[in-house]
Amino acid sequence: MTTHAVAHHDDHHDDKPHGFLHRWVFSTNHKDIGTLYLVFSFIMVCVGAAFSGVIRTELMKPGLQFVQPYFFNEMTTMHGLVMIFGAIMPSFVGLANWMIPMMIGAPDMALPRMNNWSFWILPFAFFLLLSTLFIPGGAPAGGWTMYPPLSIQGGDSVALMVFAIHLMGISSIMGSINIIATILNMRAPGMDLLKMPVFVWSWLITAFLLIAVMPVLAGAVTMLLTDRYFGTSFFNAAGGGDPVMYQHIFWFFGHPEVYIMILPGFGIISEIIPTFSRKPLFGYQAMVYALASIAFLSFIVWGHHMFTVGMPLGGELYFMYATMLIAIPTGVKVFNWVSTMWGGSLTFETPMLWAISFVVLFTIGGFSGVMLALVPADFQYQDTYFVVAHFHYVLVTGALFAIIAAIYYWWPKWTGRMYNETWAKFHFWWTMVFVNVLFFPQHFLGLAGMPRRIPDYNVAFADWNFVSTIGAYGMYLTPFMFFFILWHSKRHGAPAAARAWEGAHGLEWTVPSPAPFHTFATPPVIRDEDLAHGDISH
Amino acid sequence: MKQTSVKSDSEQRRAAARRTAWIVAIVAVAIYLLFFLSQGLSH
Repeated sequence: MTTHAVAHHDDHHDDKPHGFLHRWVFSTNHKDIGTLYLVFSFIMVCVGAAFSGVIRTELMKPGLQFVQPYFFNEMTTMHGLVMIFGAIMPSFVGLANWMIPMMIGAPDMALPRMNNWSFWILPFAFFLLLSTLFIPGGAPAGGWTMYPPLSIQGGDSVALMVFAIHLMGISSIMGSINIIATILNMRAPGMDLLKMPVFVWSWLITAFLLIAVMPVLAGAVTMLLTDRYFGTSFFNAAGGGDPVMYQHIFWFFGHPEVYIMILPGFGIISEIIPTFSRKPLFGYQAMVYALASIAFLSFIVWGHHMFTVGMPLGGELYFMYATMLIAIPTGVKVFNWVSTMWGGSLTFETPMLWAISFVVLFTIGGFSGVMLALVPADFQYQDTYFVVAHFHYVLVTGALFAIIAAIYYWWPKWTGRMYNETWAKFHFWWTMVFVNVLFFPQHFLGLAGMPRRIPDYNVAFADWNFVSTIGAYGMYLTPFMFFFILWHSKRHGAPAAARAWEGAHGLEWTVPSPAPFHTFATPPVIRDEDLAHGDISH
Repeated sequence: MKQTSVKSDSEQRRAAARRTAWIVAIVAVAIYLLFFLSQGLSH
């Protein structure tokens, strides 16, 4: 495997801005802004996990032990909002910032100052959201889906929540504009669309999804705001409005949002598996078309979140069959990952372990998704812990595992340091055990009929709830492990080569490790062996 | 000479990127208004 790098001359290796303010607050450098996003996401993961700690501790035994029901509802709501908008989405944007310019041979994002703004809006959004915990009436408690009329019956947290979501939406839209403009306009000569790494493709498609649906969410929550404060009746039946209409609008945003949180993960896994299989990705074009198909289907399946609202049978049948279609492009992806591994020279470094576990566990989440797509079955599963188990398999062992895999994969490129493989593998196996102890029993609880979003439950559900909470406590140690491993690597890790992994391809591996502050100031000359997926003509 | 042409190429790309950004931003605002106004007008 050749490791010759194209000689990229970076004339400004050391002109990083001096001082904290100039380096980080006024940053226009895609790598620094990527780092900011990732650090912010890590903090938000810890905050969201703390909220889930309240939930799981309360649910460890039946009966009310530690918190009042209203506070419990605040915790479920805030956990969802923080994890989705504060942890998963920004961490993928952070990875996009770090990697997309380097993967397509661009010197930076297309609009660096807007990039800075996209990030720095986020801390203010979450300051608004988290501040609701300390205002009279408490934090939002109507669930992350914010269904009216419940969601607008609380205190003034409604206004703060809506403004926070507007800010998050503006941040996401500006980030997406930047990513689209970067990918469409800043690729190095020769980096044709169908030669781009799959991670870049996944983000191009995700950015279009964000552009299409974040304004819809903004519209929905604006209507909540005017219903609450300005006397409108968009969703108020007494005034001629329709609360079910909110659900339609919300899930028209909400289902693509689910794919916004997983498509970049698909892209990451499509980078890692070929590297550690030492084979090109099987079916590159099929993978790209599958991503696009999943994105398209995400717009026409929203009704499967609301089978029990009383929609006509024809509507239920349509949404059921349309939802099942998603299994086809998703199956293409899973089979192609397995086919990439088939006959490869596999090694199981830490990123590969996370990637393989993603394939297995995400598929479990996919299967429970197909079960939920069945209308008659969904009438049983609706609002039970089965749904909670399903979306945590998709979002934790899916999206979060992909993010962790990506950090372990590109960390040597970012820092120029390797990490301790033994500790990293311990981190993986510990997480692998406890994440399943945490979430798998929730399938049983849901099938037995335990409702979600309740602080107390029938004693029949006690055993599996106890097991699930033990799993949660095991999981709470993992951020500390992760932080320690990365901190130790940064301080004491062995130096990383430019191509940190023997089987890695792609432009990012042609620059030194750590990646210089400015890369590809001059567009690189792209050769087939530098492409992430080789010559795609065969 | 070569550097100059690379620079002007880079400037052209940035100009194209700004155009793309404006188009996408206008689409986003249009979707927001469409959903908000369509609900408002239907009442």
